[in-house]
Amino acid sequence: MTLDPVTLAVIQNGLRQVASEMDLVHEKTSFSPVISEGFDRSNGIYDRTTGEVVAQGELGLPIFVGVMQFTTQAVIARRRDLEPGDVILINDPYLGGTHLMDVKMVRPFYYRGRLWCYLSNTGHWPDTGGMVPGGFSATATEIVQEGLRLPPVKLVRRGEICQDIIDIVLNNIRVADERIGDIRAQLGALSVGEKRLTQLLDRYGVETVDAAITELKAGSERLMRAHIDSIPDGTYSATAIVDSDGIVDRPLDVVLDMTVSGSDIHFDLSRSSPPCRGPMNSVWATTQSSVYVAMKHIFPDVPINAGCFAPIHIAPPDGTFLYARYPRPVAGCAAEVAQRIMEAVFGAMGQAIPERLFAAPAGTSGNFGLGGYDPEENRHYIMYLFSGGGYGGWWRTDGLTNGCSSVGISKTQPVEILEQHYPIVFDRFALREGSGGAGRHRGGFGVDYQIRLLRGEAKASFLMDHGRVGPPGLLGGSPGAVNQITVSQADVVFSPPHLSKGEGYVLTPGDWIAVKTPGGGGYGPAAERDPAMVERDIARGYYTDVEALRLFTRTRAAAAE
Amino acid sequence: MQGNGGMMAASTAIDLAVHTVMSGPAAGAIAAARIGVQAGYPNLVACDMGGTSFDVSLIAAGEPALSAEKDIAYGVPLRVPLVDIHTIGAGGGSIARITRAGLLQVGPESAGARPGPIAYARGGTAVTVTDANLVLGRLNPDHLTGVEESAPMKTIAAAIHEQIGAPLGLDATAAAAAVLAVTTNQLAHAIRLVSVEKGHDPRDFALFAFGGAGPLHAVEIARELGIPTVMVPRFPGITSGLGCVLAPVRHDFVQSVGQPLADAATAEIDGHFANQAAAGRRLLDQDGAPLAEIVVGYEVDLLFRGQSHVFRVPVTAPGFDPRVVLADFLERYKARFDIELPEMTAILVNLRTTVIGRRAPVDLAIFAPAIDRSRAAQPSGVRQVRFEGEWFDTAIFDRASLGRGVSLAGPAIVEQPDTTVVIDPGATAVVDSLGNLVISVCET
Repeated sequence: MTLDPVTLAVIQNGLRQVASEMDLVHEKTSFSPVISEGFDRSNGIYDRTTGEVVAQGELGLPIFVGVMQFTTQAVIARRRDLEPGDVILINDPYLGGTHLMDVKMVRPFYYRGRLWCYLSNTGHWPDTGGMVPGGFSATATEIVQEGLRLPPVKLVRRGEICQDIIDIVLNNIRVADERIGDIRAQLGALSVGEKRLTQLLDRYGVETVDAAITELKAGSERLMRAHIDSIPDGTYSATAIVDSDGIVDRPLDVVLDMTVSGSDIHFDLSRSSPPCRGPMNSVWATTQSSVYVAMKHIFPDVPINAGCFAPIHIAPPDGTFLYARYPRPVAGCAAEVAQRIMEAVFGAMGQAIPERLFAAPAGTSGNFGLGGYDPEENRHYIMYLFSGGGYGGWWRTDGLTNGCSSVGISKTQPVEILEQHYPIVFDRFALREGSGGAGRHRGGFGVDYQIRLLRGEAKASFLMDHGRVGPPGLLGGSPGAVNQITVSQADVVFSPPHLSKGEGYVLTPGDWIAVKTPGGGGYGPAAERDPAMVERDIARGYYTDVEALRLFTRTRAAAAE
Repeated sequence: MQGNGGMMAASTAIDLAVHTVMSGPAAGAIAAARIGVQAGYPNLVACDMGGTSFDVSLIAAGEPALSAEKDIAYGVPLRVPLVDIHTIGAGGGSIARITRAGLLQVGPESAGARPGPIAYARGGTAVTVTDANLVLGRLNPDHLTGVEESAPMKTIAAAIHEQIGAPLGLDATAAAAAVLAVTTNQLAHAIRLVSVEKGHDPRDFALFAFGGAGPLHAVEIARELGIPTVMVPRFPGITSGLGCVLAPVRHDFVQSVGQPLADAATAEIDGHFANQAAAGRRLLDQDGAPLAEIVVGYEVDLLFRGQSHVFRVPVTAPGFDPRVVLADFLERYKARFDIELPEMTAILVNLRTTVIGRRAPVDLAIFAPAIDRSRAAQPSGVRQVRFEGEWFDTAIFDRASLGRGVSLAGPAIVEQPDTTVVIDPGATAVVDSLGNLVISVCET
C-alpha cells in the first residue's frame, strides 16, 4: 500500500507524540530526581516481531536509543508466555541492558486482540542495592556487588501487580519507600502510551500505520546512507582512553578501526583492552548503542527508527572490555565507557571529515553519589548528581560551555532542589574558567562546584573520567582541561588516587568535595584564533592576560602589531 | 504588561523586570479571554499566528492558564507565573521543503518578512506557507497585507512544483495542498500539547483565531481536532494591543515553606498568606491605577516527598486546613496522572498569592458593526478556491460590510486589511453582537 505524504508525516508525528507523552508522564510523576530533573529515562514503541525501535520520545536519554530495542529483543526471546495486561520488569545488563540502575519495563501492546507492538521504558533508579548507595561502586569486581539483577520477570500479570516481585525488589534496595512511586510512574507511562496508541490506530487503521512504519524506516535508512556515502571511503583509526577501571591504576584503551565503504560503515573495536577487573566494562548492547548515538551526534537529522541503524555494522568485540559477560562489573558502561566509545568514533570521523566535525566534548557524566542519613529529617537519602562539561570547538564556532554529557540531554539539577532534598550546601557552582582547549575555535568550559555536608554522616563515591588526559582537540587544537576531584575530610585535603574514580569517602559535617569538570577540545591551531575573540575572552574573565599570552601567543602578537 | 497577564506600573517593572517576559503573547491571551467571556465562550484555545510563529494558550472559564514551569532559550527555567503559551515555529513565512529522507517538512525555518515568501517578490525563493495559500486561491494575490505589488503567481506555482511537487510526484496544486495539510497538522499538534496532554478535551473549547495568519488556518485546524466553533474577533491584527487595555493590574507572590503538609500550622500559613496579600495591596497602591475592585487568590504547590515536580492546588485563606488540602490534592493528582500514592508523604512546597486589581470593565460592543437586518451577507466577488482536492466557486466578502447578525455559508472567504478568514465548505458563519465572526465547523 502506498501512502500519501501527508498521512505519512502525520503518522510519523503521531507515533513520536505517543512516546513523548509517555516520557512526560514518567518525568512528572517520578520520585527519582535523576528521572524528573535529569531526564534519565526513555520511552518508546518497538516492533512486534523483531523488537526493533519504531519510535522513541524526543526527550528520552540518547544512550537508550539503541539499548531499549536490545532489551525488548531479549524479552521477546525469553518470554514466550506474554499475555494482554502483562508487564515485564528487567535490568539485566547482559540481556540487552546498560547498568543495573537502568530498570526497564516492557509491555506487549494488543490492538483488537492481536499483538501489535511492545511499549518499553527505562528509568534510572537512584539505587538497586549493591555495595555503595547509588550503584556507582568504583571498586566492584563482580556484578553481584553492584546490586540486584532482575531477569525478565512479570511485574504485572494480566493487569494484576505481582506483589511478590515488588516485595523482593523493595527488600533489596535502599530508600525503598520512594521506589514504589517510581514503579507506579513507569507503569503509568506505559498505560498512557497504550491509550494514545489505541487512539492512533483507531483513527488510521492498522494497515495504514504498518505501511507508514515500513516507509519511515526506509526513509531513515536512505538518509543515513546518503550521509555515509558523503564520507570518503577508507579506514580511519582512533583511540580513546579510560583513566582506569577503579581497581588497577592503568588506562584502558578503546581502539576503533572505522571503515567506510560506499554507503555502509563498519566499526571494529577488537583491538581494545581486554576485560577489566573493575566496573568499567561495557555490555554489548551499550557498546552498540554508543556507536549509534555518536552517529546521531554527527548526523542529527536522521529520524530515529531501525532504518537508521541498517547501514551501520559493528563487529562484536569479543575478548575486550567492550563485550562484558557475566560476572564482569559494568556500572561505568552507560555513563562513562559509552562516551569513550563515542569519542573514538568522533576521533575517527574527525580524520575522515574534519571540515564537518568537532573536537571532543568533556565526555564524562561526572557521576557523584552521596548516601547518608539526615538526622533532622529522620530519613536516609541518596543523592545522585551528574554535571556538564565543555563541548569541543567545531568548524563554525567555539564549543558550548557546561553542555550535558554526550550520552545525555540532562539539565543540571537545580542547586536549590538539591539543597532542599539533602543536608548539603553548595559552597560554589561556577564556570570553570580557562578549561576549554585552545584553538581557532576554543573548547567550551567545564563547571567548578563544591558541596559541603551539613548534617549526619554520608558516604561519597565518584565515577567520572578524563582525569588522566583531557578531551582531545581536532586539526591542531589543544585538549580541554582534565577532570579534577578534591576531598576534604576533617580539614585534610587530597585527591583520589584514581583521579576520577573513588568510593567510600566518609563525610562528617563540614567536610566537602570539590569537582572541576573537563573543558572541550579546541578546533584548529590556537595561533589562528581571531585576536578580537581572544580580547573578548579576557574581558569576560575566561582567561587572564598571562594565560591568554601563553595559549594564544601568535594571535596576541598579531593583535599588538 | 507582565507575562502573567496583568499590568504593573512602569516604575514597578524596573524592580521586577523578569515579569515582563512573554508579556506580548500574554496580552493576546487576555484579550481573547475577555472577548470570549462577553461573547459567551469562556473556554477557548487562543491561537495567534503571524509570519514566523504560532502561539497557543488555553483559556478555561474565562481565565488564561498559567504556568510557573516555563523554560526560555537554552533551557533556562523561569519560575515566575506566566500565561502558559506554547510557541512553535510555524507562520505564513515558514519554509516548506522535502527532507533528504524524502519527507515533506514545513518550518521551523522561516523566510520572515525579508526576503519573505516568494509572493512578496523581495527576493525570496523558498516555498512558504503563504505561497501555498496563494496557489490554492485562499489568499488574494492583489491584496497581501503589507505588500504593494501583486503576487507573481506563475513564479510561485513553478517554485512549488519544482521544490515540493516534483520530488513527491505531484502537480503544483496538489503540492500546495500537501504543504497546507502538513501545516494544519503541526498547528493542531501544538494545540494538543496545551490541551489534550494537560487533560483537556479540545472539543470542549472554541478556537479563537487571531494574528495575521490565524484566521486563515483556523477552520481546518478545528476540523482536525474536532473543535466545533471558531471565533475570529473583529480586529484580529490588533488583539494583543487590546489585551493591554483590558488587563487587570496584578501582582504574584511566592513563599517557599518546604514542610510536610500534615505539619502545617493554620495560623502560620494564614499569616504568610496575609503578608503576601498586604504586600500586593501596597503595590497596587503604588501602581496608582484606578481600580473597580481587588481580588485575592491563594494556591499552594505540593508534591510527594522525593519528587521534584510540584502540583498546584487552589486553597482558601484564612482558615488553611491541611486535611482538606490533602484530600483535594490526592483527588486532583489521580485525575491528572491516573496514579495513586497513598503511602507517600505530601510536602507543602510553596504558598502563592495573587492580588488582582480589576479596572472598570470595557464594553467590547464598541467594536460591533451596525445591525444588518437583511440576515444574508452580500459578497463582493467570487474566486476559485481549492478545498479537499476540488476547486469551488467561492464567495468573497469584505469584513467591513458584514453587519451584526448576518450569516454566510462556506465555501467563503472574508477579507479585511489585517487578515483573511477562510471558511471551508460545510462550515457556516454568523456575525455576533460584538462583531466577532463565529464559525460553526460542522463535521463533514
